[in-house]
Amino acid sequence: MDAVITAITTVFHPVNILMMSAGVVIGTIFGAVPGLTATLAIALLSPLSFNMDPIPALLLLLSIYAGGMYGGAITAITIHTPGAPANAATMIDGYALTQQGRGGVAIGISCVAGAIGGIISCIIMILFSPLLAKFALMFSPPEYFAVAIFGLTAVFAVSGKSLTKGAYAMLFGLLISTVGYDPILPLPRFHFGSLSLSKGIPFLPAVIGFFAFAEVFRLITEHNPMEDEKEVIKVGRITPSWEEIKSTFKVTYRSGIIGTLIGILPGAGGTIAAYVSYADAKSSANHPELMGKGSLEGVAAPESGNNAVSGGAMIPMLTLGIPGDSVTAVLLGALVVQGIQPGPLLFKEHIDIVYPVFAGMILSNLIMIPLGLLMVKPVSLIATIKRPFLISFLLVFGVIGAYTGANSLFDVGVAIVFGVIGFLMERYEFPTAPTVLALILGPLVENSLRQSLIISDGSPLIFLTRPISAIFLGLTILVVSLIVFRWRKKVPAEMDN
Amino acid sequence: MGKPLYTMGVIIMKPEFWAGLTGVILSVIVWYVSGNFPVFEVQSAGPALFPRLVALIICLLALVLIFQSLKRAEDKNTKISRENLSQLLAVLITLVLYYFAIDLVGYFVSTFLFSGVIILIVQKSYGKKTFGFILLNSTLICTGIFLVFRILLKISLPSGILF
Repeated sequence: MDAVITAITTVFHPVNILMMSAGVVIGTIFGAVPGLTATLAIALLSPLSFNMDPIPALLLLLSIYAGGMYGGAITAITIHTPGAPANAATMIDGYALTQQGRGGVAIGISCVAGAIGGIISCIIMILFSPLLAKFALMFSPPEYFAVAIFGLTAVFAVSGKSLTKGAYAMLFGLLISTVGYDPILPLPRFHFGSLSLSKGIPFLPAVIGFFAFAEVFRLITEHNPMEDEKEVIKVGRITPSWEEIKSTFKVTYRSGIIGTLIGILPGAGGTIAAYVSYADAKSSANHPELMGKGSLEGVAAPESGNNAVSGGAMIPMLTLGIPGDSVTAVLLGALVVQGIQPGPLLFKEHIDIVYPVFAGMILSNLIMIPLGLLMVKPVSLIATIKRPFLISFLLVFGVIGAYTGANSLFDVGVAIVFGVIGFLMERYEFPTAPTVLALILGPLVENSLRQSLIISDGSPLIFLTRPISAIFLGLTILVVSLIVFRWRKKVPAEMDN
Repeated sequence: MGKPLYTMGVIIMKPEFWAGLTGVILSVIVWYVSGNFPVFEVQSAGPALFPRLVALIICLLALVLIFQSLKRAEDKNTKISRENLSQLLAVLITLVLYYFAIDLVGYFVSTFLFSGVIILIVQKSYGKKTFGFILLNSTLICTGIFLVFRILLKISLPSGILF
């Protein structure tokens, strides 16, 4: 109880309130501008957070996560351009409402519903994380190996159109993760004489390359003059009335739970949560006949669902140290650099950080409501930012973000190289999410594999004789089989067409 | 005689072919280099195990990709226009030069020049920008970075021979 009270007083410290507010603002802006994402914002700002105390740093990054999803809804509703794929479902009813002159209310509802969805997922996270952490204390290397492989497989299986390309991207990430010191012996590998490479490929600069620089290269090569002429539409009243909010409660809380459960699954992110929530709302809404034609419930459901993913995705990341998507992978990287190792021991060794972070996640969703409503008009203007400025901004901030982590120009070089790789991967439909996850999970996968073989004196049967490990490996095979089966059904149908 | 050469020309233009070839080459390099790693007590858990295991699977997938590129007809046009390609290369070269210039002339001078040059390169696609716009862009960026990084966060940035 003392820890809870301390956590609450900690988050209400002025510096932490400022960090959460700044995070919500930054996340909203990055979420709103097409081409920018909350993941990118977290990647760019994570190196800055190294110079800060852990709690304000984490509250800043987590608040960006909260604001990012909402930001994308603003442009989805006003200019028919989702800030992120997860906001595409919001666009259906949101833009219809804009055309009816009610765009402002739609944005207001998306803000409130998003906050409620985020809070629901935080509550579920707070209730279940300690329980899962206790369960995870029974984990040993074989279980960690099996869970990590399941997580990686699930991510590449749902990323992109080709199973082969997804697996290839994932394995590429695992291979890169072997550069640097061996996790068991003091032996540098694949460094080719370079002292910088002997420390391994730095994760955050690689992510900055994948997200910031690759996006710049894409903006340059896929320039469409039509995209430049987005005008800002007048939105009218933004603050929703109590009746309007009440009318969306049912779909909001249902979607909050749906989004949280989807967030727990590796690879299943905001986009899936938004669409599943929207589909559920079509049947459970108070006025299903209005869905698709300009319904506030059609805005509330996907926004609650996609915001709720944040809390769900944090559960496996915090309790097992296994991120389920790119955002939590980057957050994991930021935590590790702060000296905080996620996993079951987190709740024993860093409870003084965990509880304030939990409280902060709830508070940042609450802060998002007034700030989000105030930011609608400025963000709508920022979202129409001229592309040349956006390109130069991304390049400059990408360079400085890569540099400040270790004050190393080598890291900037890594970001540039990974920018080229990331651009080529996206262009030729090799998904980058599995590579990012594999890069951060690679050391865990290798370490747990080798430790398991040491324990079993070289016998791989250890993964089958331990029940939890066997279950997760079985689930991995099941996921791959389902995807292959679905792919085999699809290919003959396409050939018939 | 002409048709197989043309077909081969189509195949080697496919990204899957090059991705596969890269994977095969990478796997061979990893396999060779890891052969020099020391032997471990439990040999199956040595430093070469994981890289070799991953390299082996990558090599198999790479061969699958190469095979797929042989089988499948070219399905969509992923060509980049000549203008966009030249802009992309120009931005990339400028970025590399910027990387070297940071240490040489200092962060702020190189950033000021870099952000201006980038606008000059991309303005062909996005409309000509005035000198005032370019100057404002560079000034805003450098001022923002100076205030946030140097003053607020007290992070030192490379100074080089100039500022």
